[in-house]
Amino acid sequence: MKFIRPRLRKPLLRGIAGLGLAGAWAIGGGHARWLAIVIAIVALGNAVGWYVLAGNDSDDAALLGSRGDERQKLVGLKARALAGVVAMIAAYTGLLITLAVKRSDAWQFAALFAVTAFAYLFGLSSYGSGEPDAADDTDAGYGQRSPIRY
Amino acid sequence: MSRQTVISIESGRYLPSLPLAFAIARFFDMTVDKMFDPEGEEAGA
Repeated sequence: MKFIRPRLRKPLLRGIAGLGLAGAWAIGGGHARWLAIVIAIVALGNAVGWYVLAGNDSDDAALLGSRGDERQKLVGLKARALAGVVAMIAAYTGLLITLAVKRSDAWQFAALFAVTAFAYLFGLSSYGSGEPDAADDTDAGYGQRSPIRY
Repeated sequence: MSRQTVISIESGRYLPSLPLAFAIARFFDMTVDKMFDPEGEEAGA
């Protein structure tokens, strides 16, 4: 992605995702296949809109343009974390409801819940919630609490 | 660093990371504790 200009990265991904949706609709759309053209036009318009918005001077525009500083990236990270939690809760709620009404499509919610839960556990292991690295001095007194309070 | 982040740091709504704090202090030719110590600010005010 380094070879693509930062401002272009997310709009380009959006455009590709929209065109993918249009392609999927065109393949499986049946007699309403013409809607794929509408989806493609909307996706391209959306990508152009994002590109234009990414040029503004705001936190959102900096994130859209992939040029956010540490605070803006933190805001984006928190927003994505919230989206993940909401997706997990929505999947679990859907699972409960579909199980309660004995519908056969409960497995879809179960799969979505399992994916979000696995992604959470994967994130914990990737970003380091395991054993702490050894200190420079080997007998660093792990049994003692840190004297620093804040 | 964006204008919005500078405003957030100035108004105390965001505490910068250590590398950023050191970079800001270096830019203003000050020490980090003089720049970001809230107790020192209260004492000086």
